[in-house]
Amino acid sequence: MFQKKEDIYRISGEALAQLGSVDLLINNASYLGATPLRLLADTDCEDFAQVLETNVLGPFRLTKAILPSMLLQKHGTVLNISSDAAINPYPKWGAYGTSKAALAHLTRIWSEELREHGVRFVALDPGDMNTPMHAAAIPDSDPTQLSDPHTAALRLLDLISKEGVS
Amino acid sequence: MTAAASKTRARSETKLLVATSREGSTELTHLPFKSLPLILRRGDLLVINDAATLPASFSGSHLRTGLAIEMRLASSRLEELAEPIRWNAIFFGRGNWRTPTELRSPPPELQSGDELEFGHGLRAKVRRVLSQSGRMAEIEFEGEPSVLWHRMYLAGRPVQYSHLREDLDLWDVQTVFSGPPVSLEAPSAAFPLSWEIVFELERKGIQMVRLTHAAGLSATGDPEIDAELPFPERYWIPDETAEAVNQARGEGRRVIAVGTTVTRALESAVHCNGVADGTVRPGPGIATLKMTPSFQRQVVSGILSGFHDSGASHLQMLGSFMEPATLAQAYREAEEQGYLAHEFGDSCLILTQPRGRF
Repeated sequence: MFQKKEDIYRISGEALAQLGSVDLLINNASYLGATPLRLLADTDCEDFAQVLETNVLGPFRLTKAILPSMLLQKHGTVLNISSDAAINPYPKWGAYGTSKAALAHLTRIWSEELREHGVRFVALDPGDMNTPMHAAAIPDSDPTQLSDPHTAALRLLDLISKEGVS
Repeated sequence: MTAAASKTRARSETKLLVATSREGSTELTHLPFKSLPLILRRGDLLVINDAATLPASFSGSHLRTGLAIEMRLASSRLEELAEPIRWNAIFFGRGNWRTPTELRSPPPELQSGDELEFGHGLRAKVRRVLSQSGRMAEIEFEGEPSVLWHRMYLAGRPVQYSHLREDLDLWDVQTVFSGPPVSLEAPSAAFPLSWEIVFELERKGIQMVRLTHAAGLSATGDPEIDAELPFPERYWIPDETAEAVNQARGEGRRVIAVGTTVTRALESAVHCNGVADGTVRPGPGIATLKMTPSFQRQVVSGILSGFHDSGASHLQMLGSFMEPATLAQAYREAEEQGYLAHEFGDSCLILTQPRGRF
């Protein structure tokens, strides 16, 4: 649902109606693209666009809708969930890797623009987790070598609750 | 004045008419809106409304007759700021916003207990009819608030009027300050503001604080009901806002309201048991005040606003900042210069001398 611009104010409106204001926004929704993963030469244009919509434009739009309450109260944190694919050019991870690199850069620019106004932007990589998405991307990986998503989430919260992470 | 008919009009094109009153005379200046930081000065206090705009128009069916009905939420019946259950609403029959509200067909005859259905599981019951014309009634939505918010967002669309060309999306009715979704129409005075302008104002030593004011419907098309406008509106003033306003006022600095909603909230918040003592009280309240040209403002010395229809309650309120004759002159001059009216139109900043403490 983060792929469509018109759904964003429904999400932010429902959240703000019930919470009043927001201190922490976590953009974790993301989309791998068609699986099994393909070479860029075999990736459909439409599929690439959908990956960017979900992983880059979705977080941008939701941030834009939630941000005013943070700027007006002069504090707040936006956590964008990143990946090592944002840095390493893994073959067959073209659409996803590009989208995560763009998200990381988006996070840095948000941060430059709004740091002095009390809103903190952080991109963090939770590492390889035992999730359906991971199984779809790397079906033959050993689940016992992957971290539990709940543990990873707690570690991320612990990290951002420390001062000075950027 | 010609209405701005397009929601996609570039914000950078917005014009700003500045009317400065000093010792009985008024000076008019024309500027691009982005020059606002040049007009305001260090020490000015800008107060904005951070309300987001709800989808407040629902089209569906009147179950007893099976006829089409449009319901526009007009004002909340409950005191809690973000409370979606009970409302006063305005009703129309078949049709949509492209027909001017005064020409819309009447709704099917409403009776207490009638059920209304709007799709996506959103249902409401008529509690009682509130106007002779049968166009206004108190309703109650079915369901728990959390479910209700979801259904309202799925079934509703923004309220809009026939001067526009395009359907409005929820994105089009938010300001850059949009937070709690409690407004039924956009607090549109802030539409031309950007965070770039806000940060520039801050750098210049112009302080900005917020309140939340649930703007109600601005027009119903029914003369009997329109005479009651503006409806009671809920507001909430944070402690730090009341403090900043009272301090600015005590020091003789200008308090500039962005929009009529902010003006109404602040001027309502100084009234206690019907007596105005000039001190803004923080917390929740319900604005029932009707500001007319004879209204004695206690707090707000300047207002940033759009241009709206003559006769509208909006213009009545502007009359409390400026002599009606001078206001008419300002409107004429703006019209000659090609200013556009309504929510996507141009802006007017009226500045008066701040009053001393009473």
